[in-house]
Amino acid sequence: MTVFLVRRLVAGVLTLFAVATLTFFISRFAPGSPFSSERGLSAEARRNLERKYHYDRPLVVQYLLTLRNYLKGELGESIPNRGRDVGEFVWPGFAVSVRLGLLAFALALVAGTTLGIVASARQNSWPDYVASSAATLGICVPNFLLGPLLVIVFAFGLGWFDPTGWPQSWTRWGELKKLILPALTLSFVHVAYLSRLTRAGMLDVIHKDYIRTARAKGLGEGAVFLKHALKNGITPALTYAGPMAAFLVTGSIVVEKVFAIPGLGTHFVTAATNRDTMLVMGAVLVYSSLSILITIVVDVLYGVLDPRVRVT
Amino acid sequence: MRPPPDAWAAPKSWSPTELALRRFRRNRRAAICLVLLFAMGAATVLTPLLSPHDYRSQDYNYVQGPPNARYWMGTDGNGRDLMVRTFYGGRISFAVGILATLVSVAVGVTYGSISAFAGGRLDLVMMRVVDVLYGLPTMFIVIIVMTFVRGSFVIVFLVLGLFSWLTLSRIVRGQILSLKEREFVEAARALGTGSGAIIRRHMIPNILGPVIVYTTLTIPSVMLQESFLSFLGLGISEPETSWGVLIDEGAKALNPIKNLSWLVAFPGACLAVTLYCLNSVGDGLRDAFDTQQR
Repeated sequence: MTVFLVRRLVAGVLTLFAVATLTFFISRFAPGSPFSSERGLSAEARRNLERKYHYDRPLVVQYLLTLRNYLKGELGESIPNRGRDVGEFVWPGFAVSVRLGLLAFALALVAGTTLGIVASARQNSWPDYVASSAATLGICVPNFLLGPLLVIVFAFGLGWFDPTGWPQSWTRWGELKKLILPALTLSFVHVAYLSRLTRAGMLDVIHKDYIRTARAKGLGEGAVFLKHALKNGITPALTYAGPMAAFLVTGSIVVEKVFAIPGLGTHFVTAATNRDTMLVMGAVLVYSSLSILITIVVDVLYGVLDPRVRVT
Repeated sequence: MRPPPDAWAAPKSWSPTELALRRFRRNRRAAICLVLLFAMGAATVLTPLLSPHDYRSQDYNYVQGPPNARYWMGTDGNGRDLMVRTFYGGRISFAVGILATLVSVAVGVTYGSISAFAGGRLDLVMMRVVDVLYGLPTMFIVIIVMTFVRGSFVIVFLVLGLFSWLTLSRIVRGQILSLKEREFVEAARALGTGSGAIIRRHMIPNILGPVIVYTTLTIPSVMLQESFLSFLGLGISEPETSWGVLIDEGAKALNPIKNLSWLVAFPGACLAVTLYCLNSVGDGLRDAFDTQQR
């Protein structure tokens, strides 16, 4: 287990290194300079700026300097934001995004598996139909379309929710309500997909011998379903939890844009449009570390949940 | 009495591809979706040609006008006809999807077959490279590239294509490796068939199925990525347009005072129908070709 963990961590660090290297060289070989957006910059001022940010040094030196800063945990300065530290944007945004992501993750897991269990227990009932049409809808209505549609119907049409915003307080319902549409948009596809996986998994085990034994012992249907079948039937759904977390990371960029949430994704998109090199690189590194970390955690958890896949 | 001469002829034999196509045609949903796709494709080609409006020209009498007799899908915030823009954008979305997929097929098939035929150390190195690339968070690298190399149509499909060949190369390599060991290939070799003929007559027809199936499922995934990038403002850019750009523009225009829902609804519906049909056709082809799974 330890060997496995160490190997995965080393591979993760190497991947991060590759991402940092790639982003650095893409940003330096791309046409245009990060200082070209500053209007009315005299040649001298521009040269000073270039010296300040080491743009006058050879590329290799620039690269090593950037890597050294990243190793020290410094994400650099955002040039379009007058040299403010990139961390000032990245970390508060990250805190917001993580909350949104965790909420969507929990919602998808709870709603998806519940719907799947009900659908498998009552095949061809209305929850079954809801689950299967939601799964179909999930394939063809991506989150950047679902978000605006939900806004049209529930915010502007029915007036139940605010179209945009992020709660300023975590105790008042009026503020917390702002979370509903973003979380729904972010988790919808995954609710649908998880419910399908759970349903298939449950139907797979429900005909196994040990379930028949449980019934023969005289156990009620509830106990058979929730105690005996669920343990094995839910495994396919749980294996989706890892990829889902990675999808939520990219999905949150879209959802934050649609609902104007001040998360990392919003900063990232703004930075990308402004060609804010350091902020884009910082955000990508944070996003990449997050998805690499999630993959490792998930792989370890599989081993805990299902001893058959435990890697030595 | 002699039997009629026909009875002596060999019965018509069906090739695996013909059998698969027959199975596909019996799949009602996939067949309907294929027809719908052709209709959508035709609409994206014909509407901009036949419509009296141009995708760029503005009509200041109809800014943000709802669907009406003159502009069937309404007009956008610049007074441009949404119907022509939707289908013109669809043309670009389709083109990106198809061209990027072609790029990924070209790279993936070449890479996978070289790796499989070379074998040994080169194979090992090439597959390690694929493993490493798999570990990269692809979407973020794509976003980085699109940030610094601003999105013309060519850049978008090249980048998306060059980032989606990994799985295909693995599929092709695996297929070739297993085909190499099969009895009929061995028999062909024993009969003295040259490698060129073996590749042409035995390898390519057998790889074709999985490649076609994977390709049809790549198109919707690439189109989705293109709309995702365009929605974020990192893909296709003005004055060109695509479904992702139109949904983005529509979503930005939404406000509580004036109902502008058609700006999102029409491009959104086109995108949704297309994605649904492409996925159904892909699933249908997979069911038809993949006999082991049945």
